[in-house]
Amino acid sequence: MLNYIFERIIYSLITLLIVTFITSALIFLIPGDPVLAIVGENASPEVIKNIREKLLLDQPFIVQYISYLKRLAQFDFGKSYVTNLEIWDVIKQRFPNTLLLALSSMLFASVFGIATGFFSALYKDSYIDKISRYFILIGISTPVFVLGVLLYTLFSVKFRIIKSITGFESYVNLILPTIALGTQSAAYIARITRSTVLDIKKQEFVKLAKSKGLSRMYVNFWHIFVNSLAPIITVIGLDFGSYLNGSVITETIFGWPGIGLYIFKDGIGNRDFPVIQTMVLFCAVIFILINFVIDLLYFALDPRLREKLKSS
Amino acid sequence: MRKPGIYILVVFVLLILLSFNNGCSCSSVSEAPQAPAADIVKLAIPSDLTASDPAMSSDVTSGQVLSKVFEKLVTLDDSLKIIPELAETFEVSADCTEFKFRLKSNVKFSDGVTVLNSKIVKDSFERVANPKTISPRANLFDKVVGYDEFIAGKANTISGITQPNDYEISIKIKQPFAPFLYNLTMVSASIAFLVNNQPIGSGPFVIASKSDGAKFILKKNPHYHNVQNVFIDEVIYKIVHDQMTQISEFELGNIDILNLNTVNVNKFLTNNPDKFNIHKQPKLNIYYIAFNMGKNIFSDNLRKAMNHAINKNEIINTLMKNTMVPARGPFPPALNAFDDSIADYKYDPAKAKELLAKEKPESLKFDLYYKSSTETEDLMQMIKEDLAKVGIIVTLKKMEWAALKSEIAKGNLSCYYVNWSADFPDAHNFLIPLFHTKNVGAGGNRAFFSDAQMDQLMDKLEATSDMTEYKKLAQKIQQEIVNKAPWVFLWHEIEFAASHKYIEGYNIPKIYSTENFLGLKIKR
Repeated sequence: MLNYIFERIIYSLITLLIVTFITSALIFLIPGDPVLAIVGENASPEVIKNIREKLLLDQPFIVQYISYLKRLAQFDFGKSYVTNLEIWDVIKQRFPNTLLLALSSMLFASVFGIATGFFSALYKDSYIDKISRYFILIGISTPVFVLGVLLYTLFSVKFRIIKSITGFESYVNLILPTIALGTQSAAYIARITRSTVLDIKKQEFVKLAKSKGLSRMYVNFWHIFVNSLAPIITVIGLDFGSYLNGSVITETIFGWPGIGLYIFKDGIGNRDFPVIQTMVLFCAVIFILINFVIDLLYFALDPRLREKLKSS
Repeated sequence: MRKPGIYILVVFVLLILLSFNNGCSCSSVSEAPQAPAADIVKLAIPSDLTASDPAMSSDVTSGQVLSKVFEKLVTLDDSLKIIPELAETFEVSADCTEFKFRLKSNVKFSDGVTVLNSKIVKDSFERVANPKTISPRANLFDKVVGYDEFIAGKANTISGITQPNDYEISIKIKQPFAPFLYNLTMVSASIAFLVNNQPIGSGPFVIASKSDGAKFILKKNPHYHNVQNVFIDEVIYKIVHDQMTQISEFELGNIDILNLNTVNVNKFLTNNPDKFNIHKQPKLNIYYIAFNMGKNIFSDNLRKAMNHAINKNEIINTLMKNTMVPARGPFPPALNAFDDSIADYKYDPAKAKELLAKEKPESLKFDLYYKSSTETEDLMQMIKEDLAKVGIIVTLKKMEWAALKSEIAKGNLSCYYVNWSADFPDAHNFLIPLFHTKNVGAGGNRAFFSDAQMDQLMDKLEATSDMTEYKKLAQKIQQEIVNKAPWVFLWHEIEFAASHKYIEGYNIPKIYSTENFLGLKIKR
């Protein structure tokens, strides 16, 4: 097990190095000049030249990349070109917000998705199943920006149930962004749960359990539900990326001060290179960590894998 | 068995229809928002503050905020005339090379201790000019005597800025430069000093809480020298990127004053007749199609023909719903040098065709670049159709703004739809950055227009101190430029804002650097 973890860490570091290279190369290649974002519309050519030199933007790619790696090796994530703020400070301030939104969406999507999928499969072809299938269809095909606007128009503007759309003064403000961000995932989870549970329902061990005279609830929970969890957890974990991606749009609609907005508006919109580099790297670290945790969970949930690892 | 599903679908569709039946800004059950309990004004801004230090400010959003926290020596009044702000009085020498300011004596900074004196003013200006500050507006002082030595590190101070005593400051410039005082009205020329790297100002408000990405708060500065005219205790800036969300928040009463994007103005007015106060202000800007003159691919006739071919009035009436006014030259009507008698290009497709008669057919086909946004899509189609009517076939190519800006600055593109907003309301700002050879590319001259004779005239304009003469010369240069047609002169924007009925004394400022909310009240 330790060997396995060690191996994963080495691979992860190599992946991160490749990520830094690709990000830096892409930034270098895409059109757009951060200096023009810094100086605004009316600046003199001398000022532009001075800033370009100070930020090493007049240097060739390799010089810029090496200077970036050097800073990174000292855990210096740099300052934003535009706001001059330490990027790490911004991450510390904003990542908890994105994490809160992502986790609450994940919780919403998981509970709602699993419940919908599970009961839909248990009562196949019933009303519950029909309703669930429509939910899945609508949930998967409704983009976040449509759902977001729909939700606040209905619940805030129309019916005044939630008094404020933006900001996060109270946890009430978390409800609409959570539903907006989590619905698509909930639908995916419901779909995968439904098909997994339908599959497991047909398995011999379920029939055996039933024939042993175990109660229906006991079989449904311990034999069907628990055994269907492994693939569902994989989907939930892998889908975590979609919460980070989706957060860009959700955060824009609901003015939620997270990192999605920071990457998109402050980073890419202004060609603020250090912001883009650091945020992409940060997201890569998060993705690697999540995959790692999912693998460990998989081991915990699937005895076959543990056996396989022991034998190898 | 199929019925429940159909019911759900029907309910879902009905919900969508119900919520969008008023074009997304529906308020059918809404009661009029109440005035807030405390004197707090809530505003929405589309992006976070890029700078809290005026020396580093270069964008409109930051400028609007910082103009409430910091003050300049001079500012602009409602008619865009230069008036004293931190200065008690000021005088300009007859040859326009020396500017003397007598400072107000009762000014305390927001720390409550520091009193305004001429040394703070001098240090403030030198901090902006100092290359170590990397201020995007370092060039505000490049005309001052001793600036070159100072930035080269040969002198510790700028010799042209002197302080005869604690309350007097004098600035000498190398040669006459009439608009110099306008430089001092810009946010970057604010008087501030740093304490623990935080800038301290003397304006009506102080930054009470820094941005957390969702909002930041300004509080009334109790030490402000004109505090009796500040009726607002707190200004809350909510950072809301999406205008539809902004509008909904405004209707809910969570935002008190809202700037409206031109595309949303009419929908907003139709949905909310008479419910709110609507404010209008012609902006000091210009939208234009620039030809890259450096590439030498557009003939005089072709450029003039394009000016005749686009039916500006129709586009403004139909698509833009009168949120713009047609441009006759670079100067907007709100500018003091605006010239009503200018000989401009009238919409005349027959004349355009006549001008194009001798053109080679291949020269009438080219790419027209523009910034991708919801505002530009339909507009560019209309322009394309107008041009096609006279035989000019453009291929529309959209680009993301940062990319487009940099490609234009590098001179890689030939023809593009762009705009320009003034930092200060003077003809200089609509001529020298836009048409002088020294500013080609990133400096603002996006048409790469270079004409020795025009450069000479513009240099002469900079050195003219007699204001009547100055205005005449500016108008002459404008006419020459219009004759040479390096652009298609399109339109000037009108800015719109809405405020709740309980807000009193709000007007859109003519230029963003003057907004300080003095006199703004909440009606009880």
